[in-house]
Amino acid sequence: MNNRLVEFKKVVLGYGKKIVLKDVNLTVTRGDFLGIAGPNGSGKTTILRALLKTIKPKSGTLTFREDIRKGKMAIGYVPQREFLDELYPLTVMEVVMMGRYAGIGLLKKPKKEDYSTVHYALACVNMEGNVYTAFRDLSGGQKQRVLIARALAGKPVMLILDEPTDGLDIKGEHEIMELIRDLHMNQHLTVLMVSHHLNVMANYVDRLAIIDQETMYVGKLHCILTEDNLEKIYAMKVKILEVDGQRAILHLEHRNNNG
Amino acid sequence: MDDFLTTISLFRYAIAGIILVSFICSYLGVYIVLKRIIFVGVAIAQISSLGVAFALLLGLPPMAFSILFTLLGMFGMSTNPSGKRLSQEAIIGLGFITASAVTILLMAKSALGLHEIENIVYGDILAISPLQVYIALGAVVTIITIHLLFYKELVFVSFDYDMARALGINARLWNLILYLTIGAAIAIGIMIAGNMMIIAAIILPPINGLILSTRLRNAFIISSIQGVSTATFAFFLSYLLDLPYGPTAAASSFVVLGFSFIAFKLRG
Repeated sequence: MNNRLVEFKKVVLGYGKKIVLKDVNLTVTRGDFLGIAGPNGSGKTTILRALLKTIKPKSGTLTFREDIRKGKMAIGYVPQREFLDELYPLTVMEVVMMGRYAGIGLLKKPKKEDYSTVHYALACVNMEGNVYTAFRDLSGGQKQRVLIARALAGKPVMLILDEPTDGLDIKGEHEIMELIRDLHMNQHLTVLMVSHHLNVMANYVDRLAIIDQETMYVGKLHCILTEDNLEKIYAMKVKILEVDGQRAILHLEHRNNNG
Repeated sequence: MDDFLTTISLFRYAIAGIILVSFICSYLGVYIVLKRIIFVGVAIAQISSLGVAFALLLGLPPMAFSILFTLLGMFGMSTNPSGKRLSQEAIIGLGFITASAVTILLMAKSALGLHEIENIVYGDILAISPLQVYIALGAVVTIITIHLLFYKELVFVSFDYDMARALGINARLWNLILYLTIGAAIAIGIMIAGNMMIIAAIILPPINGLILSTRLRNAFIISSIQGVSTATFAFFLSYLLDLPYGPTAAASSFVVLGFSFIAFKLRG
């Protein structure tokens, strides 16, 4: 388990009596840039919950590296930003500081080093000029940066992002994905992102896990992201194009229907 | 002046009770408004009254049963036995209407006179006993101490439950503490100041605080100050003009809120 951060072995996940995913075999190693994709309701969020230890496997083994288990290494989590209520009058500083709370402990206030870490995290996402801006007044892309900074404030070894580009325009999507790639390349962060935007995944992740009917297929991007696989999983005709080194996935169903 | 001092002396327990419950309810009301659970607050107030009516009918201690019913009500409204067939709002509505109806039915069967029991069930500020004030003091000190000591945990869990859990914070426990303190404050508040005053206190001052402030801490401070000042002012107003206290408190709070809206609009 030297470079392995998390390992799923024949894991079955679900809620109550309902099985959502079975026989999940997945290893996340240091330096990974892994994407998890799949149709709506396929269990992407369930995998994420297992990684965040908010649900336990029904069977199989889910092993975390010892340093993570003992709390010496942190996992940074970036939730979907629309789940956060805009009513709360919190500043960017207050939101990012939440990433330090687990380390600060009960009955204690943030110290100087906590503030320094928060400022550093904000600098990493180019938001240092907005420290005292109200979080709710930021644009979608800026909010996403702040949430990434909050995850970074916990000094994580791995970043888990839930639909980081949802609701962003093309420019915002590009900027956030470039930021994530930069954190992966330059800060050597292991990245695991869940997204239903295959076009985003296709151009950034190294490995891809696709969920199809309770089963997860994992492999190198070019092995998993094939027209045959996508047609089987999404039950529709697709075409993968490459333009100037960028991949684009088109669905052809609509065009065919119109003759 | 002498008359004023005599009034204060005469109603010292009532005034102390009002200050205590208006403070804690307007403070916790900020969470209620932010978490969009105002209807939960209203339903809990009604369930708390049901607990009092139940205790009176069986000759049991009303405050203890008010708190017990409140806590059971909060637990009940956090579950949804129908799965996805009904919204949580439907469960809360069910709790509200059932509690309202059963409270009136129990009151009708009580050995006490209807007016007398109405005063006890829905609160009568003038009938407050020193013991009730001391109980309220103990409860308010306990609740506010918890909230000040664990402010960061309670705000974090309230704002982003999943992230708090992901960081290893016991979000379930903190959420439970938040709801229990809200339930206890509402139950005690209703026994002292009545249903309408408490519902007004958990909604109007927090709205005012959130309108006037751009920082969460300031919203708590503004809400608490406004809650206490309008509740106390309403007490003297209702005494001078011979008006019922609960509606006077709600109306006073509403007038302040109106001025805040104007100030907010003028500020741009």
